Amino acid sequence: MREGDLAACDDPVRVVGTLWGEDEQRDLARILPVFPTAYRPSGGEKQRILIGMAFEKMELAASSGEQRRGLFVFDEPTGSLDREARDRFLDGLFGHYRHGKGTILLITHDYSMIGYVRKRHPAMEQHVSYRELRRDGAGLSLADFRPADYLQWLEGIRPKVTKHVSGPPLLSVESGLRIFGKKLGFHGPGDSRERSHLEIRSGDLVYLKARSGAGKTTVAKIIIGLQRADYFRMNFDGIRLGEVSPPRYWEKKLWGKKMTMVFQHADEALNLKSTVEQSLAILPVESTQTEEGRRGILASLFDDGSLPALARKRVSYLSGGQKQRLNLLRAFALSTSFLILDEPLNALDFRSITRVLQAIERRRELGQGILLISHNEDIFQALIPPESTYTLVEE
Amino acid sequence: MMSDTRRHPRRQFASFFLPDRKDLLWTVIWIGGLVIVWVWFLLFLNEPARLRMQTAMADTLLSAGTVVVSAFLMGWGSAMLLHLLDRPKRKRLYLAATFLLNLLRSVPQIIGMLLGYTLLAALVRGETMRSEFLQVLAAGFLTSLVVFQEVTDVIQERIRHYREMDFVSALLVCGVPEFTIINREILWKNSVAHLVQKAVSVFGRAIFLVCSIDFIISVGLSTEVSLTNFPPTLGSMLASLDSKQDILVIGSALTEPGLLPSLFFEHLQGIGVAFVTVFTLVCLYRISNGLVERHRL
Repeated sequence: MREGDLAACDDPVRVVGTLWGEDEQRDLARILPVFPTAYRPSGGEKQRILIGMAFEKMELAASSGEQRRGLFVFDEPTGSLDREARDRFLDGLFGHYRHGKGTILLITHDYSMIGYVRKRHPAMEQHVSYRELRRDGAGLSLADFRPADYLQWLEGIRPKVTKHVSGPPLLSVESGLRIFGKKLGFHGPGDSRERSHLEIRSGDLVYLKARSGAGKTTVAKIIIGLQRADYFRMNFDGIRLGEVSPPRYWEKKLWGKKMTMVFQHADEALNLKSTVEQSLAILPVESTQTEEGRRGILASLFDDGSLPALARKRVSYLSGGQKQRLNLLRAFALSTSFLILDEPLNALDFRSITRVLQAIERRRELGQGILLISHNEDIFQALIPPESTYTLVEE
Repeated sequence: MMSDTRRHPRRQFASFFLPDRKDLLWTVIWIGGLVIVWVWFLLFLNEPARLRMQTAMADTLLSAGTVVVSAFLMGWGSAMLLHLLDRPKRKRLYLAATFLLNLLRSVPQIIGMLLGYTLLAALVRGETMRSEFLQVLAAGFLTSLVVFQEVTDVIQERIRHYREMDFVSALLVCGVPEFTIINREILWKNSVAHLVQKAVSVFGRAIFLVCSIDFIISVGLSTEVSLTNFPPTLGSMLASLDSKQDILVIGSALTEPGLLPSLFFEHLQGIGVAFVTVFTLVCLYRISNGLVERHRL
């Protein structure tokens, strides 16, 4: 089954609807006629469609008598999914496993699955074996991974309380912005269902969450000035901006100087033909113009020993996690007052996650206002206090 | 583990011409063919004719090279200008520039070149341009006026292709100037194969146009322009009386096979010019196609 075959399917809702909740069926009906048009379904929606098709593949393999002989590989299936969709995915996956529909190799950086498996599927733990792929000298090796290590670390995370700077917020975005025929608003802070402005002060780390497909990345692109909304109002650093503000204003006054953004897919956000060094050297800041400066920046997220070789490497030869770290470092190298991080933990291993979180914390301590968008609710809800958490909703 | 080709130098040499490297293979065939023809001329063509051939070949290649350089400069300049004007506030200027480019594009290339040659002839006659070297460069520049739009199109297409990609947006929000992104990240790092293929195609087109225009002029379409005014090129050599007579012998050889050997020893000028021209065009066409296949353009 390929993506294009969905159009020929008798009942596409049955096939791909597995990961859609009852209240989301309307969204699914809206998406199916346009899939796989590039822009409309969000990353999470596309992912859910593909997972639904993968489950159907498992069904088809089982019904053709190939059961138990099949090996099904899921490569980062939950990277763009919210917690509910991830839970439905795991429920579906274990359901298929229990019915003997093959062996499953799940490749993921989504450590939050560990907690869910322990909580909701304890009986499955004896069937799940956790392995970690490690680079040993010149080669790769598989080592046992202890889920308890991650769970203990997660329990040890304490929310970072921000000491608010007095005065107006650095960024304030009004609820009610309109785009693609949808009206979006913010609820919060915390679990409040009250409609509010999204407010970020200097030194704030604000977490914006929403269910998959709600438009978090779209909102981020509107704030950063890459996407034009039909209606929106925001105040940034004392300047009022809206849908009629000239795009050149962002380009001339804000980008790289006062605000920047880390895109969620490092593979697409980096020029694969550049070397690691070139990816930093192109930035309009002094620190990246010298070899020492660039090595210093790289050293914050990469091991010292590998730096000279890494710096000369082409981006296309980097692993997913290395690309993501470079993607983050590019934004960290700039001294902007505001930063948007869209899925900063994508493709990162456990050790890299802790280093990236430390680096984010350093940026915050330096007074940078940070808007964080992530599906990794386990980590960020533990790290960010409720008063700095907002939920994006369709109004 | 070492691959076979790395262990065996002979195989390594052969792998250079693997099917996916047809452009390199045809470049070697082209240069090798020209060297063999030149050695043949050295052995069997009389010296005055050989020297004329050498000058004609050098002039043609220089003129075509000038076309490539000039077309790329103009193509890049116009693509940058159009990109700069492609803003809501500059819509009228953008439309005017696009209209001018399309107007230039609508003039058939041969007609445009004839008009250009009339101007060039006036400069030569008025002795404003005496140097033969300058005349060849000027002919190349005039030819580039009718082909540079193709380069503009390629550059614009490359910019459009990458403009929607996240890596361009990511660099923009890091404060990297748009012109740096276009020229360094898009054109230099991601479009070299496309541009080299276009350069080869423009080079071949230039040789074809220069030869065609010289041939047209030789049959007397213009009273202003005469072949005797300009430095020799492959086209003007082909149009000369000696070459025409040599080429006519090919027809006779079809009915009298005994004449066939004389084509390669006695009628070398005409046959040689025709062969070098056609052979060069075929090779450039193959090189261009090879680049398209190898880089999946």
